[in-house]
Amino acid sequence: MPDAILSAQGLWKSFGGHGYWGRHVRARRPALIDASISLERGKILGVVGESGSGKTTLARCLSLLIRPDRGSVTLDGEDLTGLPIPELRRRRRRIQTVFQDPYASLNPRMRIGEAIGEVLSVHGLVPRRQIPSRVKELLDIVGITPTFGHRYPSDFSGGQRQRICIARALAAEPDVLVADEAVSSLDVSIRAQILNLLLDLRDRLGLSMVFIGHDLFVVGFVADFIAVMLGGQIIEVLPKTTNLTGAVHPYTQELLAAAPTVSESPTDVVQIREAGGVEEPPIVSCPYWQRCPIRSDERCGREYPPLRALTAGHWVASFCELSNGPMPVRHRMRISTEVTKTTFGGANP
Amino acid sequence: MTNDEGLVVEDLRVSFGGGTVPVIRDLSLQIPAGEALGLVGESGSGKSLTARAILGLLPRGAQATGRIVLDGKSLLDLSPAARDRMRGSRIGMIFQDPMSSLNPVLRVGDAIAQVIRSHEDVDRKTAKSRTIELLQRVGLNDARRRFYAYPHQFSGGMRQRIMIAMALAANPRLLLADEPTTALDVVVQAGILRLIDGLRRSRKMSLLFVSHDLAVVSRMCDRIAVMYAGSIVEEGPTVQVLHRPRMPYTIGLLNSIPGPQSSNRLAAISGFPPQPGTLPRGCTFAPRCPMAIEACAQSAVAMVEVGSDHRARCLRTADTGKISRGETSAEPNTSVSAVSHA
Repeated sequence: MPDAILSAQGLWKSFGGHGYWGRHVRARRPALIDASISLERGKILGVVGESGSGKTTLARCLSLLIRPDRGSVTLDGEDLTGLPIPELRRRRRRIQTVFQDPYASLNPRMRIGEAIGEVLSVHGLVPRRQIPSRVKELLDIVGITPTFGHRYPSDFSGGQRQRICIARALAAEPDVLVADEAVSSLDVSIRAQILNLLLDLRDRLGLSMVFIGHDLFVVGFVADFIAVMLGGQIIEVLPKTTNLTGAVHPYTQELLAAAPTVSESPTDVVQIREAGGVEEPPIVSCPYWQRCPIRSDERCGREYPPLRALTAGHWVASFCELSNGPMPVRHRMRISTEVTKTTFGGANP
Repeated sequence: MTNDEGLVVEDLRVSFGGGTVPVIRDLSLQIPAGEALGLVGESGSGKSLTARAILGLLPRGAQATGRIVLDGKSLLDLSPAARDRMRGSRIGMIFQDPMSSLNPVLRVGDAIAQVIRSHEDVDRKTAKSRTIELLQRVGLNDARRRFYAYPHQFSGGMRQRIMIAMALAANPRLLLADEPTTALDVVVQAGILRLIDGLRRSRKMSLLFVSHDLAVVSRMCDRIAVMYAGSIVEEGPTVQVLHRPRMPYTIGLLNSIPGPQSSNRLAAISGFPPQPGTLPRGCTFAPRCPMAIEACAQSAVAMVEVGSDHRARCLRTADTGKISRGETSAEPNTSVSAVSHA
């Protein structure tokens, strides 16, 4: 893609290995398996997945906070993976991250104005004398009263702190903003404010974004295209236009069914999997192998399925023939919306 | 009062600073036996504190007045010792954070067996077999072996299941669930919600489900009470509150949730909730309300009947009733007629 601001080719990352004092540790499934993405300027890439699916590892590899074992990350046409640390540090300014927990990401003993000003002086972005006015400008952009720069993080609520974290990230004048579960710990109403803020920033500053979350509807709402992750792999890439209904991978459909929406009836909680949870998938297999209702091919349990294109912008990683039809019976327990009236007859005398 | 009446809370008031800073004001709610009520609100609205007041575990310095009656027994009049006996045996509670609510140095089986033995006069062996049964019931595979595991050996979802087993150990009649799935993944959350729902139905328990997520609550509860700044601002059957909300705050909350059909921007509620102690004189939501009129800021607003068994604390319910939300347009006339009757 010619206009890609950030792209990754075949990223792999494994953790662990030698263990404590060289003791043998069992081999584990890599945290990131052959992940490739490409983010255009001014677009938002959404990444969804459950905990342990590798979405944070992907985010950290993209911002080179950890180095991938294999593969390359390209920022604005320049390969970052081979760069020596001092060089890398200079490039990293252009990829900024907002983390999940706004309480833990701000130094409680540092005034918020200092926290933002520090970024400006470290990167030498504005002359020292102009730092205070730039800080005010940044606070104003994210919707915090500009004169509050002398206050401490404890004076602010969770939503306000997340705004401050965003202002601090913006201070570095990044090309790409990585929001790693940035709204997951916020209240529904505050979350809506922050989502709107992120979209406004994209429109006003032309920022590109990687937006990571576990709620498919939230991620689908912000993102222009969505990568669904499971067991370290990107298993489906959906363009926004299909509005999530075009999802073909059974896991994506499972996620869609699991996300509660208000429009449906009460007592309509969907059974996702057999109680008892699922162990980690085998080291080499399709990440959905154990839960898959349609697994048949021998290859599912012995190889990583590669991403293949279905239509323009829609990719899926599976050996099986997938269609956007109804899900197999195991996943369709009680998804009917017909029960509204009947369940309510009894509860509402 | 009959014995199977469930929970009745009347004019509950919780305040700090020796009664000078009220954080919950004139809160009344009812949960008949076997029913589920969802308590929804932003952080700081007092919903967790309400659950704690019912359980009798208020933080230091907080005072509760009013009436809390469970199965005909007035809880606030009980002695501390009697209250201790109620806690666990009649009222079970599931907390938000399963990571920090389990004792890390206690095997989970022992922790649950301890609950059983402190409320009932049973021997070790019976307690153990009941614990294993409970662990199986909440969906732990291989419960016999997992009995001896420590909390750190479980995932977040599994720990929440253990919390549920512990809350149910002494067969409570009322289950308080304080944001039980907020710390969990969407997929794990669906499993936990289903478990709580199934247990409530099979044991005919009353359930108070506290959450900030209307979507989650709508799947779990017969009725919804929306809390704002320490008081209930709208209450009614789930379908009515969701499809015909009458308080602008509830409408704002519903619009804040991205759904499959959300457009370009979310219609978020602007501003922040008020701090306790600095509440506005009139309607507490008026400063953020897009529909506020002068009268809203004048004096406190009372709950008004807006439909069958549906109440809202708002002066403008006549106008909010005309706003249609998404699918509400299907049967528009029923609620309007209900208002004119009331």
